[in-house]
Amino acid sequence: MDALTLTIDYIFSETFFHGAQMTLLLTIVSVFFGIMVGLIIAIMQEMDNKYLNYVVVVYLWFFRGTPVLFQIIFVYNVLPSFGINLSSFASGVVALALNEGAYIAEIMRAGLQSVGKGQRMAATALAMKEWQIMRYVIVPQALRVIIPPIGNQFIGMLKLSALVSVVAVEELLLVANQAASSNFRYLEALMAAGVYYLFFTTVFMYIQSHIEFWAKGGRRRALRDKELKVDIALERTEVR
Amino acid sequence: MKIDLKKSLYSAFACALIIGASASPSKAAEVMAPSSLANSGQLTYAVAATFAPFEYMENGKLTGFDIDMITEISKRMGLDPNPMNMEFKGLIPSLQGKRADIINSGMYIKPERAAVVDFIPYMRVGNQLVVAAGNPKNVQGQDDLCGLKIAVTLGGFQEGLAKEQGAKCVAAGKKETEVLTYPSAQDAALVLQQGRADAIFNSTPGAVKQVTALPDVYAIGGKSFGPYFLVGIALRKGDTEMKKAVEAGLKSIQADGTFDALLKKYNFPKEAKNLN
Amino acid sequence: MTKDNLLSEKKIIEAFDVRKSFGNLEVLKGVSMEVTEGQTMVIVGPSGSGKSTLIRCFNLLETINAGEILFEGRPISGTDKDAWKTRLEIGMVFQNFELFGHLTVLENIILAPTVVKGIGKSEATEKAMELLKKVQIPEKASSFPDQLSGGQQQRVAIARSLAMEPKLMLYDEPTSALDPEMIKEVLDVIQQLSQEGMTSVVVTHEMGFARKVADRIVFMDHGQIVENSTSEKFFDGEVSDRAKMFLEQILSH
Repeated sequence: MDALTLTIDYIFSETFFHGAQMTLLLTIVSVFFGIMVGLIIAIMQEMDNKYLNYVVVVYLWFFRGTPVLFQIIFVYNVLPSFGINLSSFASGVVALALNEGAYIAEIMRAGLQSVGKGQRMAATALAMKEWQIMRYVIVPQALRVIIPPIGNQFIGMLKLSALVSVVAVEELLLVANQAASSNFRYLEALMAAGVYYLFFTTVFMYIQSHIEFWAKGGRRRALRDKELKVDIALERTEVR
Repeated sequence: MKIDLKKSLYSAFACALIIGASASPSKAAEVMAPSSLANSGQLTYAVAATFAPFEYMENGKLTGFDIDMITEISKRMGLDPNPMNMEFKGLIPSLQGKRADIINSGMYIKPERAAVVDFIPYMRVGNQLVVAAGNPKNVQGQDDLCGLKIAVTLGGFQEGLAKEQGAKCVAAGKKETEVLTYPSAQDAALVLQQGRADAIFNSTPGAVKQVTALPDVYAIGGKSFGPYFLVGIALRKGDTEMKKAVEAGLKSIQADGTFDALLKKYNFPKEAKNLN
Repeated sequence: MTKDNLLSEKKIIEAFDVRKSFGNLEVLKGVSMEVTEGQTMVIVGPSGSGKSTLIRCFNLLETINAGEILFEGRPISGTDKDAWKTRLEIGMVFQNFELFGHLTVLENIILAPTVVKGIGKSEATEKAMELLKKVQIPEKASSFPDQLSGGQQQRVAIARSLAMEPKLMLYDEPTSALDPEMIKEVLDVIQQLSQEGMTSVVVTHEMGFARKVADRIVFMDHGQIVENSTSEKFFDGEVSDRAKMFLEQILSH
């Protein structure tokens, strides 16, 4: 069978399709919970409490300092002796989410810090309370800085998810490797997997660009920018 | 009224027990299943399906000698086989983490591994000569190679082996073997297929895979020869109960010819079952 | 310049021997002064004299270490829980405008009234448009801050503070970050508000403005008030030597 036909066969085969489904599911669920974890860590850091800070430091140190593969194997094979018995999928997601949370927490911290201190001062001077300041002034502006790197985390997780094959989750790369090892047609099997990965990446990038557009002010700003250009051209307004 | 209620409750409970017990599938278990299993009612085994002919994926289905073997052994224990298909690296951790009862993955018994896990050997694999289908030059062993062309991979242990054999032939007064070297095993196999060589070396599993894939092109010439490796089922160190049960299951399928039938089905040479 | 018919004796802000340190550095070394209703006070002095710190103590953006501050006769405390109530009545305009970049001009102005005071959106919007008309840029209502010039942004900032209907307006160097051609439009707005009777405290280097608009001038140096007199006296030179020196430096430009 020629390379193109075999590759296409693989792409539409049930095993590859299910493997791709599993990879997509792992990615979305892990980053989702990773965002939850990152949010909690970021809030703990904001609260400036000595004990919470200690917990955060230890957490970041462990999850950024050990390989993800190790973390996955640990959750699946070592936690049962502490009574925590998770399925293959759950173990993979827990390890990936906790690992992801460490990086997302840092992204959120950078995002929150990117909002100038003056913004908080101005909002405070307007008699706004802390939670109002966060909700209406700080977080919306921080989101603008946070969203692009988080989009990248999604795309990174797509590939990181391949590691959970070590605890018997039949994700896309395992399927491709096993298909190839039985007939040595590695190129076709890996190309088929590659097509799926690229497809998912493309979809993620598309969604990300839309969210970024919305976060910047969306259509309102685009319209206003257009009007402004016209005004400048017709000299109806000064150029800043 | 009160006493009658108690009696009827007791008998209802007893009935439920009996019905419950007889409702569960009672397999004819020839061998005692171990008392603690990773998943009850199942023999859970960790496997990395990338090693034909032992375990591999065919059309999305888990296939291979080991798969069939363990299915038979599980039946003898009255259990369902439960494969956990994973990346090779995860095999030993999942055994040690008690997520799997055994590793059934065509594992070669090596001293470093034996230090970490216990093994039940079930097959001996070595090397084979692979010749053209039908064995036209009637190669039954390395001594029959004198005067023939043998294709080997460059710089590997095969080259050394072939040259050694050549020297033996000359010493015995026969024609020398002609050793053709190629960069990869694929090249050597191709050359054999084209008839430009008479024989190549391959590991026993590799030869089996080759012959199974293209039976009209290749055949195994003669018996296995060393160096040998034993292939075994891996168990947690000191897990004597599991070991006894699986050994008993293995003996059972060896005794009644099931094992031999599997060897034949997957094109293994008969001598593979001789562990000595 | 006086507005006798608008001035009353009611004291809006009183400071008694206020001290403030940042770590080991004492920035306010016993400051006492008062602002009466309708008065416009301008605070001048070299950098580091504590001018900005002082007015930030008035709306509790900074907390004092010693002394007392009264707003409308009530001592204002530093506990965060009630600070916002005091801030409802005091508006502040910053050197860097600090408009909320993710919101339009209109949204900037109606945010605090709707969220903090619970005023309905349409009512707040109506008030906001009036204020925008007052600061002369109603057409920019749906623009974003980064689409505006500095002078326009600062006028929006003033409108934003006015939307909360404060009794006192604090201006912390409102024109220091503006290009020269835009300073006038902002100072004009502040002057107009002052003439309408808004009690104002302005920290600035704009001496021309001070001379024209202020009722009282306060000169600060090294954390202390060196001079506190009427605008006429100050600019007529009835001042201490230190103040004279400062005036010479400033006015020679």
